Amino acid sequence: MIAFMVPMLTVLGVRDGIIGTLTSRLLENPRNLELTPKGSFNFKEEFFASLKTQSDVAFVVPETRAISATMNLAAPNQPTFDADLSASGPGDPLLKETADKLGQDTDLLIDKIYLAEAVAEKLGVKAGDKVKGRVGRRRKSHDEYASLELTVLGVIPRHITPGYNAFCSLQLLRHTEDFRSGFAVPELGWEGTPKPAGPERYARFRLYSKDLDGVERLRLYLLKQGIDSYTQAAQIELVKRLDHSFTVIFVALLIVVGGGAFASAASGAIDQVAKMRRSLSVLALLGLSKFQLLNFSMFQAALTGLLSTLGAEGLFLALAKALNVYFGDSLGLGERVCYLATWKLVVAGAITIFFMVSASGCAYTKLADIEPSEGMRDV
Amino acid sequence: MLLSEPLMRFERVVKIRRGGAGYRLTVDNLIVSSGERLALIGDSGSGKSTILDMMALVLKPDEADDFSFKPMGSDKWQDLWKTWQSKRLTRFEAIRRSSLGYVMQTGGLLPFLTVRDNISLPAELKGTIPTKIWREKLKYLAEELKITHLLTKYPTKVSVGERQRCAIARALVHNPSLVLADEPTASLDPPTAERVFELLLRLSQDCALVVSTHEHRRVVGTDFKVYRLLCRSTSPDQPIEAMVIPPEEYRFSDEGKVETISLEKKKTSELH
Repeated sequence: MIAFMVPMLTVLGVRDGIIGTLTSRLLENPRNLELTPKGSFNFKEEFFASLKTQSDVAFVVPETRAISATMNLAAPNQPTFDADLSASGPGDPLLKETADKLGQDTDLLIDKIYLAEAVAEKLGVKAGDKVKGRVGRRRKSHDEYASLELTVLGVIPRHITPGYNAFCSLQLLRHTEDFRSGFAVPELGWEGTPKPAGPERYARFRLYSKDLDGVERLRLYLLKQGIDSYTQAAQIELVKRLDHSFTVIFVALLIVVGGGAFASAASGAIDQVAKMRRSLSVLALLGLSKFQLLNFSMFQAALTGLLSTLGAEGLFLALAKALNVYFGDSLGLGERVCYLATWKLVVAGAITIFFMVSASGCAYTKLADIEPSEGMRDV
Repeated sequence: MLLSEPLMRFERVVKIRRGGAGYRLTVDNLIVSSGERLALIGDSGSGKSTILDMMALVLKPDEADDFSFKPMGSDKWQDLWKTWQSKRLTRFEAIRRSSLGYVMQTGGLLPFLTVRDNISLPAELKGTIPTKIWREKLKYLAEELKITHLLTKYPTKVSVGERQRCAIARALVHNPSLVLADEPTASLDPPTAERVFELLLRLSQDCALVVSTHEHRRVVGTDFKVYRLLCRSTSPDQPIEAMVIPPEEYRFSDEGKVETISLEKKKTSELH
């Protein structure tokens, strides 16, 4: 029984360990939950309102056309740098880790920004520093510039945002686009022609799913509305396929090895009855019923099952520990190659005991023809 | 002395075995009463074990005018023959648990239990005797049988003679009304056999004791009622007729040979 349980637990443990590690790695990086549209569109506020009602949506923020979303940033005594401006807002997963670390929220005021690590390095700034933001446009063959002072609230690590991004409020992004289009921005004292009244429109967005499975559902939802989107689907799909393969291997092993183990346990139980025939017939003679005899042998089987479970799970835990140490170099903190949740170990034990007891039930046919008279003398 | 009351009654109970020319055992008019010592003697194959098996409720008779059992202290007879026919064998399990005790040829102790647990088992299965009481009985029996030092051992670790003494304790611990012993001393050397048999007799005085044995000198001339099994075959193709001859119908000659008093007469009258 132990010979059967240990490999099964190990396959299951490796599946759970590797899939768990890969999944948490995927989840750890919010980029894997991200969906962005392919191309430029003309989204109205209503589109975002209805998108937010989707249960898979964790966060969505509109963005302007990529071409108008740059800002020249300058810090004292450093060369200036053109950063890609992205809108952000409360609950932005890309900002969350940094904001949490600094004890801030991600609700940005117009003069506050978060910088990607790459940008902060170029400018030589850190959280709390001030930078000058400058937007340029060409109007009537003149170069015109508008600027404002921005406070850097935090620096977002490279593994979350590898690009040259600066995250600002949606309001600032909109003002930047307006200024580029030649309009005035009275709130910031930027000059230009008055902006005609009308609903705001956005070319793009950043959308985040609550979980990995939601990404595909959101992609299909968007596709239905004619919006093709970029996702990290390939990576997610890889993990899912791996998960599926492991499950197939596990089920196949369970059927083949489990079937064999059951047959051997059943024949073992039948042998056991044959071996204990004399004792069982004595028990029958002393007044135990067939039912009690069956219970007796089932109890024995349950006990055997319990002992083999404890043995097998002990061995498994030792093996899992060894595997995790051996592969420790390629693992992060808290990541494991082989791992089973306690409840799975308990369920595996329960299944084994049930398995043993039903195997011993196979011996009932043998038990049924034991006669108490056999107990009277040696046969 | 307790008043003797009948426990088990056989009235023309017949067991037939097929194979060969066949075999037909008739137990006519046999009553086992409390406090009684009853011995079944006869050659091997004469049917001693068959009668014991029927008494132990593990072998179904083929015919019976009356085959019944009355538990001690009750005045209601239970019709065993009817129970056999109705196949409600759980009733037998209850009778075996509460009223019967067995001493088997080789002890029949369970190898996976200690001697103490082996002896306790019938008392625990019976379930109606207070633990304190049967524990005292166990202690008493162990002392009398000189097996106190063996109680924590497993049966495979004790000698055959000791095992048989343990078996006697197990047969008696739950105060059965009928104790059945099938060749209880057959596997022992003569001096040990003597002692074990004497102990069995002495400790089973409160109950009826039925012993099967092929050593009649052990029971003849004691207070045993000795029933003799006799096989007769009139011709090779006729079934062997086995009968139980009650003590009053035979005697031993001065040379130790058995002389039937009325069998020939009875046989003759049956033939006509």
